[in-house]
Amino acid sequence: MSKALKLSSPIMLCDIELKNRVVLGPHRTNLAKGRSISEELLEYYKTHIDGGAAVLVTESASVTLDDWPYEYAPLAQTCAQGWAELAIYGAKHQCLVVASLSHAGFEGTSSYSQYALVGPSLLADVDSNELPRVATKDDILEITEAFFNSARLAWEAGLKAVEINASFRSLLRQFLSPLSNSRNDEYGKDPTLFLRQVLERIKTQLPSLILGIRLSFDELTPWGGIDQRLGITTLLQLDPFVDYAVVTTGGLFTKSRYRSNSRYPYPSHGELIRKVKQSAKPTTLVVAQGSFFDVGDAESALATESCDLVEMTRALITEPNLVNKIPSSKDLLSLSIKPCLGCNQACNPQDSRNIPVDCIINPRELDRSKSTYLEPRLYPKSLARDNIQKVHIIGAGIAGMELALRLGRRNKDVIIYEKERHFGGLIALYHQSISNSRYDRLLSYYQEQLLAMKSVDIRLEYDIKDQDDLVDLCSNDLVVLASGAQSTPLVYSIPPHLYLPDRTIYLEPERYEGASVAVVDPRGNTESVTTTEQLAKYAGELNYFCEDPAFGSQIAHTGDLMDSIRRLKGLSVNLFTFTEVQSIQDDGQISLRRRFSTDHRKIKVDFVHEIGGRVGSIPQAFGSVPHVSVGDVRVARNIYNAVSDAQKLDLYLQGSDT
Amino acid sequence: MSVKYPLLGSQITLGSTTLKNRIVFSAHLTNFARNGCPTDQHLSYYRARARGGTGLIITEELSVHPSDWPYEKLVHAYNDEVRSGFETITREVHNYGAKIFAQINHNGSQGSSSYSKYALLAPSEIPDPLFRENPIAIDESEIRDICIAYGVVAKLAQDSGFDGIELQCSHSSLVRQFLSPLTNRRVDRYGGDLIARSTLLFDILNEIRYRVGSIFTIGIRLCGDEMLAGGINIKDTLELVRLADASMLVDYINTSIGVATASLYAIEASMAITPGYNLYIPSQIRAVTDLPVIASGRIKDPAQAERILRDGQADLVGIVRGQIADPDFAAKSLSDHEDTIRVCLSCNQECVGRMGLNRWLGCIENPNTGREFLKSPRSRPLYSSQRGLYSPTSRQQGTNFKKWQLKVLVIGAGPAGLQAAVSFAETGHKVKVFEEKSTTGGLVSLAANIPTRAELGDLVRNLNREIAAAGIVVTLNTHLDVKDVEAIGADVIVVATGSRPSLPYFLSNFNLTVEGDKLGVCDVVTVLEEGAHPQGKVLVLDDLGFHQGTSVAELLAHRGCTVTIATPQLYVGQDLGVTLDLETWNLRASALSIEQLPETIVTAVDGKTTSLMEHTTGKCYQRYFDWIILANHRVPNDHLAQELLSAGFPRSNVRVIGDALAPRRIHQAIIEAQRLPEEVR
Repeated sequence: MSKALKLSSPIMLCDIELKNRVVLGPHRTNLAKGRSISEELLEYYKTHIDGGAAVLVTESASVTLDDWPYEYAPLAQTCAQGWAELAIYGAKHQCLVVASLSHAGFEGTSSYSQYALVGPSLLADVDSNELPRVATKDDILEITEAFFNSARLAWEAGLKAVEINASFRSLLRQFLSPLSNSRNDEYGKDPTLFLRQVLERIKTQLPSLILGIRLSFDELTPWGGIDQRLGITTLLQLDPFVDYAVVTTGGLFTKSRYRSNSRYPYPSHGELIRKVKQSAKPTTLVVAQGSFFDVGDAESALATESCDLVEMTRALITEPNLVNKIPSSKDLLSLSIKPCLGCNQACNPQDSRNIPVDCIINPRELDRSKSTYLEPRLYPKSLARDNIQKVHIIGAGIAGMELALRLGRRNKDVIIYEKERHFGGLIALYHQSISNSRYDRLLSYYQEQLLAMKSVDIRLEYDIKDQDDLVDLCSNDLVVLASGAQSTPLVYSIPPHLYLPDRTIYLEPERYEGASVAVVDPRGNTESVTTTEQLAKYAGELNYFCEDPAFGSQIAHTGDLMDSIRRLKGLSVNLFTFTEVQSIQDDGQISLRRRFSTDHRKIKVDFVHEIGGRVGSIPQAFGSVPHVSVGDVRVARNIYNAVSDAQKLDLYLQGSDT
Repeated sequence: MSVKYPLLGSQITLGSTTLKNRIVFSAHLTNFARNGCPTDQHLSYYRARARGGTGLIITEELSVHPSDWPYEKLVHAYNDEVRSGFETITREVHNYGAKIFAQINHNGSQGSSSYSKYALLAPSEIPDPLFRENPIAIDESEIRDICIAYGVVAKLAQDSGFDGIELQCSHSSLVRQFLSPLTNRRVDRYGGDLIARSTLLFDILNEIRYRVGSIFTIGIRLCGDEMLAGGINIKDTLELVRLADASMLVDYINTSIGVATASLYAIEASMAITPGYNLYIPSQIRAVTDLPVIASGRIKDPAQAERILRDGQADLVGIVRGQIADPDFAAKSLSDHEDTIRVCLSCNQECVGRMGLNRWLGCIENPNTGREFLKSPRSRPLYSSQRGLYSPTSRQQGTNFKKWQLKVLVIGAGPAGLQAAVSFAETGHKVKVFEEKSTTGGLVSLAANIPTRAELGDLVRNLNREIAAAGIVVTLNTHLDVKDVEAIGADVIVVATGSRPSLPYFLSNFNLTVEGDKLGVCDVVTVLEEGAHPQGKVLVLDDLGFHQGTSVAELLAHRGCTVTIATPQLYVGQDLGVTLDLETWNLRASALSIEQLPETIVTAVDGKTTSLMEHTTGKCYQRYFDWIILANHRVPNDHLAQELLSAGFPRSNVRVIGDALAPRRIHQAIIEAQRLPEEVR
């Protein structure tokens, strides 16, 4: 007899029955144009409600006009209409919609509001370095009132619950934390006073409104700040007013640990969740948050830590239909759900570019109705799309697998050829060097899905060099090249005998073991981290060069910036930043100059690798057969673009079916 | 007709367009677009400069193709939806007698697929150094499509009332990528020698001319020198100008220097770079062609502009930042009122500095810049939610200033105090200013004592002039206490008393005079005030990452100190990149042998022995310094405000602004001061 999943079981929150234990947490989407719940954001939430989550917490809305932490940060007073629509839609689908209310305090910016930030004390956020004015008692009362007014707006819009943010980028957390509150008045002596007043005001005036608190229980700064004991003590003081508590971590200096990447998987904070559950009053539901990348983790937290709900925000961003795909019993836990990688590359857009929330392995589909532009090499020109019989996909990297999967789901005849003995292309190489990598799960997902598809014919160890190798090719077949890029220096001129290609780095480390290796990095992205780490494990000496003033200029949002610098330094990598590589000689001598200086230096190495040195190419051999290309072979970029190419081609081919 | 600046005020004809003067508001990004369309924000911004007398406005780049979307707020001119916005803009600009050209462009590889989700297009598959994304090397049929796209947008510009177009071949452009051997490695007819590399340019020009006919001005903006090894240099550019001249397709040449994504510091040079640094480009171009040539970059005042014209270095002058700071620059210059111009500082803090951060264009000393569209531009924008679109409204619409005159007392004559005095006087109130020190300008005047920061002083000069013109009396060397304030009996008391230094936990006191083995300790302001004279081995501790620490380090090195600058940040001068000063500061720091210690904190100080730790590795070590100079956050000097409130002055009458509220940057001080009059209504 198989055991049913607790994750799918209902639970009561006050007088509302939640249909399961899955929560979509509040997260920055950059879709709230005009600081309101735009049509686009509404559609986004509706997709998630359709996907089956029991609770959906909307993007944190600022309670005051002056608080404007990022351009499209929702403002409570302009969210009422959107909340009302969500309340109705949620009720229809048995999803509890919760409004998250927040004030970013001094962790915001004055760039949009043009008004001074406000904080508990005279302290600047390390990220912005912008000093706030110190909150007066009048300010505190005004903000308390603003929280209440915003909660009332939500209540009047028809929402049954609100959640108060005292965690990520929050003035209320700044008051709670000894790191940021050094006041001498009653709000300093009693750091929970402000938050208590906010909660009490809402609870006493709106007793039927379900009230949640999102609390940082550990700022993960052992030398100061909120630790687990203080976090739990705080909760006990708030307990009378709250109906549920979300257990989060991270604080002033550890913002990235609010949504940790896969290097910090769930069990690492399991004990904290259990302690909170044990300490809270029995009627307070405890929500586990952070690093619940898959159903297994979530189920385990419900069982082991006895928490009541699990926030699976990023897993839901990857797979909005996750809840509907949860099997009826543990024995059936399979790989039918596309697994979140925990990479934070596209779902955590915490910069000023305003790129909407996305997922690198499940790109958001765009409305292409306005544009007739067909990108080069992605769309068949010489073959009518409604005539296509069979699709030959050459290469089972991520682009090829994704396309085969999509076509297979529509029962299209597909043959996928792979010259290696296994699937996965470049990511099969890379994932080995990332600790706690979840890429292997993604590979297993594709493999299991494709093997189960009757219309997909998989041919491993099958090297296609030209059209003659495609023995089953018929007229009206489409050939899709997904054979990846060639590893080659692209930005720097590296003598061929010194050059270390991607494959050698991962598959033949003995080639450079103990040798002196140089990495030249024109990218500063996640690949810079993984490849440099891999090289550092085997190279005798590793010198890293980039022109950026600091390592990893593109990875701050992944939460791995400081960690990766520490890891690389721990591996004794010599990080030469702000450094121009002027020439690389045949004998391995590299001439360097610190940028904008007169400091020159020479270093001799045995091997050189260029990060991201890959170039796409279309073999002439397919010149006469109708063919298109997807992924790196079209243009060497990243996982997101490879999946996106497959998605676009599939949508184009679908156009003929309807 | 200007007596002082006859050439600047004289007419000139570019192709089929006659301009009333030689002042050009050249193309620059604004981040005003919404959903790919021009907005009211554009309209009122350009209208203000047209009203201010500029001869020619060249719009920000208008993109010709869907594959081009490098930053969020780009104008997608290939969509027909843009037309009505353009029509309004051209009509209103023409009402003031100014002409307007559309700059059209495709950014090629200097972009990102993040917004469009389309692969980038380029001559060769080489990633741009800033955007780092591999582009597709386009083939001949794709090139043909792009040429047509340029032609279509040029025609749309013509139909929308523009007087001409400018083809961008400079800062960030597919055309420049084809022209430059660094980015063009093609072996077909579009690659090879300069003639081959310019094939795309002339294909596009032919396509445009074919579509717009002969009575429409076409200009090209060329990058005279990419400032990159192996890139386009002035010799190539002169050759290209000869080709362009001979083609008869081009009516004028606009110039620039540098590449937007590799050497932007050269394009929009900050105050650290001498004015005139790039005039060799237009002047050499002018020597090989009869086409009118536009100079631009760091042209700040009419005298300098007139001299450029008189010396034959150019036929027209592009003045962008000068007209961002003061929209009436042209009118004031040509009516001999140039002494009333609010002169640009070339500080790059709110104009250039906001562009890369995807924020609207502003100005450190003119908070109305970019806000001209607000009915009451001094109040904050409130984004209403209607239809999910931006429809900015003002919080306090229909400002009605008090009919009666307020007596305003301003305490402190730093930028906040001076601006508050000017703003109150402008709105009809009676103002007195008191300053404790012997000079006005506060920290800004001090910061301007450093040679490479000298033009910050223009801010104080501008304000002092406006103070004098408004007849405001500034009483110097006078400290006011509560009794004095009571005696003066003002309706509004503006406390703009600035800030004072603070000590980090590992130091117990300031020490301004060094005797024996004692360590000297002071903050950067004390150095600038000449309150301390550090010598020997100096450690500048930079928590801020902006100009405070780096500029004083430079000053002390000039004075013979052996300077080390340490910061907990990942590199020294982390915020200098925003104002395009990181590159040139590093050049100077290297020449002065300033040692840089990034990722470093001080753990303890014992006499002259300082314990340091590299926080990314935990590596601890000790160093010997004679002085520690602090570039850290200061604390508000607000005790007068506290005392006034304690003494019973109502909170609404005591207004604390600028650093006295929270020590921040100039812009916040100016904006808080500027909006005060309507806040105290």
